[in-house]
Amino acid sequence: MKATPVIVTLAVLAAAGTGVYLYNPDLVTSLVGEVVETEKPRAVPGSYIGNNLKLASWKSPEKLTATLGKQIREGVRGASRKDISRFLENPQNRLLLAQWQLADAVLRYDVPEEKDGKKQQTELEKYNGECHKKANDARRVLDGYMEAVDGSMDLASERMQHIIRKQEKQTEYLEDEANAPKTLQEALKDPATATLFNHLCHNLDWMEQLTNTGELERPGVVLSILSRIAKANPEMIYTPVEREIATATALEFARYGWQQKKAVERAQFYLDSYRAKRLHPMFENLPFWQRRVVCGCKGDNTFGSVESLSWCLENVHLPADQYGNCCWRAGYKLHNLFTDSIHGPMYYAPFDDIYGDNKTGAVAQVGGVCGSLSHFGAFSALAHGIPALTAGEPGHCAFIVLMNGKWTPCYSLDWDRGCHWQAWRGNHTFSSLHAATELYSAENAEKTALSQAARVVAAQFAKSDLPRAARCYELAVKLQPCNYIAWRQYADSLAKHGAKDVTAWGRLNTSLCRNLAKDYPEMAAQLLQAHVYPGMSLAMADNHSALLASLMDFWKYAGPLKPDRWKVEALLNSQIKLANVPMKDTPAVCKFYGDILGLMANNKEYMPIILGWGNTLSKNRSNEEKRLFLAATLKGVSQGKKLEAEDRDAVLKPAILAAEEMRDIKTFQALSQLVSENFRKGEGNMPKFEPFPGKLASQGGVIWTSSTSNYDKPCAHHGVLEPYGGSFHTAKDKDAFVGVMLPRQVLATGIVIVPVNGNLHRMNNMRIQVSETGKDNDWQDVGRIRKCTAQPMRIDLQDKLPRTKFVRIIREGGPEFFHLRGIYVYGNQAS
Amino acid sequence: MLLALGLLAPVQALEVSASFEAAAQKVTDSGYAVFAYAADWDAYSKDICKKLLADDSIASALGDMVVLEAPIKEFPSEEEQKAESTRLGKLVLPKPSGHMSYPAVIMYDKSGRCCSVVCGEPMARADVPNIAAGIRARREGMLRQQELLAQAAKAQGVEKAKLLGQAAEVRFMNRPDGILNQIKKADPTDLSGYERRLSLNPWDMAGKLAKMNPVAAREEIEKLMADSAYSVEQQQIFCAYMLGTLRRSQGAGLDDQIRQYAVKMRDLDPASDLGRSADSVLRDWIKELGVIDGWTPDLLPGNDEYVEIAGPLPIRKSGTYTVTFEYTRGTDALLINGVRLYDGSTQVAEDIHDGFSGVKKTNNVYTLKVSSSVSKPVLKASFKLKGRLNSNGRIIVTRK
Repeated sequence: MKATPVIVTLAVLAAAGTGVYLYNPDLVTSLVGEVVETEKPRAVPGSYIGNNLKLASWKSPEKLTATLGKQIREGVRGASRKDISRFLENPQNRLLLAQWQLADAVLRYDVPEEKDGKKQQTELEKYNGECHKKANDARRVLDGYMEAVDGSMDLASERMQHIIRKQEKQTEYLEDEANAPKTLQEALKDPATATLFNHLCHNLDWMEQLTNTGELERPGVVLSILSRIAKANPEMIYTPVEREIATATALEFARYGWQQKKAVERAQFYLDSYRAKRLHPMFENLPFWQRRVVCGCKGDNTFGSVESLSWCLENVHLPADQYGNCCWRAGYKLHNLFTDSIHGPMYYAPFDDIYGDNKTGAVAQVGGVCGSLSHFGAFSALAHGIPALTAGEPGHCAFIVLMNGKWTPCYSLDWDRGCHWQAWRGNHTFSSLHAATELYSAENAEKTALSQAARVVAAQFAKSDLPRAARCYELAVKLQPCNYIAWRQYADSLAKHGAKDVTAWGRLNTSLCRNLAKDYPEMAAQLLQAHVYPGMSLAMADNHSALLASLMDFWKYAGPLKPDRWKVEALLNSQIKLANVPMKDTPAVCKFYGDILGLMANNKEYMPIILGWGNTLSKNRSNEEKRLFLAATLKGVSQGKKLEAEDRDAVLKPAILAAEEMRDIKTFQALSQLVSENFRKGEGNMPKFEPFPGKLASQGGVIWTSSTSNYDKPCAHHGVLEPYGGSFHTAKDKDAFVGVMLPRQVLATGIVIVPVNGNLHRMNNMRIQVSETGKDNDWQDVGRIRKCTAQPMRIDLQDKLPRTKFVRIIREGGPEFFHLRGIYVYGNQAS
Repeated sequence: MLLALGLLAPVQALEVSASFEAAAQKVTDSGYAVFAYAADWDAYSKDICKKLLADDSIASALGDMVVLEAPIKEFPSEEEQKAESTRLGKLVLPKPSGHMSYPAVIMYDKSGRCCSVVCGEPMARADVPNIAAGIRARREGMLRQQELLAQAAKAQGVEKAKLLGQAAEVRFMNRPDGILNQIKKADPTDLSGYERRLSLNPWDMAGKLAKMNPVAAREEIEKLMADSAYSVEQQQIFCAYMLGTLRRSQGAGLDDQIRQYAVKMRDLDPASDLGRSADSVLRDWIKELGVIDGWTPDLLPGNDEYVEIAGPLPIRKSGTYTVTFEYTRGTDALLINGVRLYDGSTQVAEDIHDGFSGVKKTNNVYTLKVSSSVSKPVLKASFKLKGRLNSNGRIIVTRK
């Protein structure tokens, strides 16, 4: 009975060309002893189940990585695509690659490094020490309380009972965390965990989820969490989606060091909800990395508690396209009914007994500001298994929901956002979500598998044969430019083994710009700043011209601003610093700025941003220095053609229109500072009018129009939103319009429209609309002006107080010109 | 009259209209009920709605309301949106920014105005008795609101304003559009008080009060409290305003006021969130000189009389106990005269000596030798005090 599976397994392995593994005495599993001993083991689902490692081999991750690495090197032979493709044909080889990565992670996290002959404390050991200290402190406080009530809750006042109960719960979680295994060896001491691990490390699909879907950190903790989930859910490993829920949760909680007990609770919520068919149908088919987004979002946040998620499941059950707006259910409330500010500890405190850990329920009733509202929106979607995350914007918190396959920013006030969940460590960019979608998509599976394999193979040669390793990395990133970890490891290997190799760094820089900046310029810029520029600048310290040329590579290849505008200025700042240009040396700064501007002068998207950056650099300098900046600007924009300073308005016109088209407030405002003095004062004689209550919310925003014309002066556009006035002038359009994007969302109290003097008929039939999002299907009519008057016209919104980020005035009918001098939106902050 | 007619309507088997057009032919004063569920983005809400539609108690609760079904599409195409608007006509679905969740029973009056929604936990759990009660209460509310609006249409001046105000506040019902303007028009000087009542935004007011100094804020809140125009719920909110303002204030007698307003807030509506929060206010906001809160400038007495040190006290069995006064912060040290232990009103132990607890600590530990068990331990201490002291610290009671 027992011999048959052995023979079959051996035959399969032999046929697959994996006999080589069986000759290695360290790696050969005692098939009769360890795995086959269980009678008729129930099959764990997987496309390939290997059987090559003894559990004991994991005791020495150094030896294991060396042995597995040797087998990979011998198996793959060369470094070409053909070599790696051939290697991957055998599933056992794919399993080897995953096993090496797991062993490498165990080595990095569990095994102390030696420095000067002394073993250093690992990060996990430090964490473990902190856990024990926190748990001991909490226990001491609890003991003190119990002593004070003579060990009996009956003797405690209601207040003391409340304090003790809170302390008991806190102590329970802290002690659990302190006592939970953290390294692989600690976890493997438990026989059930060891059995589970034996399944895991020989299951190709499971292992690839563990190692090829983002970051794998603290593998011992991952295993410990998985084992605890499996103990409560013994069927979990036999059901692919359930296993993925458990694995995704374990990976994310381990990665961020969130409490293991909370991981088990989170996973249980999703397992129960999945089994009860309460999750959105999209969850069934989510790619594994997106399960990580769902199950692993903010494990230490009470919005993600089981109570909060359960509440959302019953109270915020919406079609996926509506989660973007559900955050408003809570209402923007800076002070609670006790007049306490949300910025202090007392905002939710009086309601703690009512809502406990149900933070979403509490927010729905008590209120909140952008942080609470965005968490409410994100976790409402997450509770249903829809990928979502919160994101930081300047002075604001927004959220992002995957809607119909598209990562959609919600309650977003700015393009400048950093994701609070990261596909890859340290990469907070919005575009990383898009890159991960492409990298881990089913249609790219084959290409990505090859790229991942090339990455792991490269790591085998990094120490001994750097050129070969670089060739493998180049293959990995050419096959899949979105393979972020491949780029990072490529740069890390150069930093470690080829720190002074100017050619290698230059090649990496060019490769990154050429392959990634085309489609993901933001990701490329992030990688350059975080992983390439530090090493490259050291390597090229003695070769300034090579460094400058390398820095310019980005601008040669940078593709369109997508999926959104990004922090171009941060890259420019980083480059000028690396180029060693002293900020006080104005001619040198102008030269650098002018060079980049010259390179991008024909780029409709980047040119206005670079102009704005130059304007920022010129601030706080003397008039003479400012003239140098102006000369650099004119030279850069005209690409060498001679232009006089007076022509700058003409030069700025396309830049302003481009900024308007992008709704880029920051650039629009920066360019408005560059226009001639007369445009910055307006024409004068602005009629007086009575403002509405609140602030002038439109000041500092951006406008755009249905078209421009020969009569239009884009340099005067910004004045339309300023008290001194400006103007715009469309072409003869049917239903001509002007749009306004406010700097912040407001509850609008009213709008004042100032017409131009004369040709009033062109401003008849104005329909005034507002919107929270500015999307085509999201405009609400709030007023209509049939007959334009020469005096300012007022639209009173105090009764409605619409939530407004965008205003649009459509002059219905035509074709006809449309022009105004001023649009003033008043309101109170709503975000 | 309308109310009576609606509620007396006979129970009939539920008939679901195929479209708004068909429904509009049959609609009565009771209006429409739309059973809305996920078209294809969940696996259970349609079944819940079907179950409800087949239930007699739901049919009874709906009375003669005209029933429609609305499968809600996700990312609807233009064609699907058109189909939905054909099906529902002028019955517009509520926005997700309101308290909306599916499945839901959305109730509209006969003009097509959305009046109320039953959704959330009872619907998700298919809790039929609760849902039936919710529908019934809302149908009654809708009829009541219509009746009040009909009466208001015939009335003038303050009387009209009152009827409109009452219509705006019918339980579970959305406020009819433009009702505040109608009230202002009928009662320009707001003699009915409904303009003040309906236009009060409690959170805006909270923001304004938070920016005032506590004395001015308390005066403003007292004015609000004295105005009989405001509802019970609003009176409760005013108590909350006052409580927060008092907590951030300084001075003697604040605890008594906190206690008084918290009790009032609770008694006005004990089941509401604010009513329930009163217990935690009473528990957590009133500080006592003792083991939990230690001593603070506000908690110390202004003289050297013996005052009670609040527990919990681990003093039960015979033995030796220590009372430690441990200074933490403040510009003044605490000078202690002595400590006494009572069992009820009988003194059982004392330690009288001069103690000093500041940055430096001298003789700040008091020892109490208790020869027999204590059933009602009461601990008292005396301090060298003449007026207010800027000192904070902990009081620790342990058994040796």
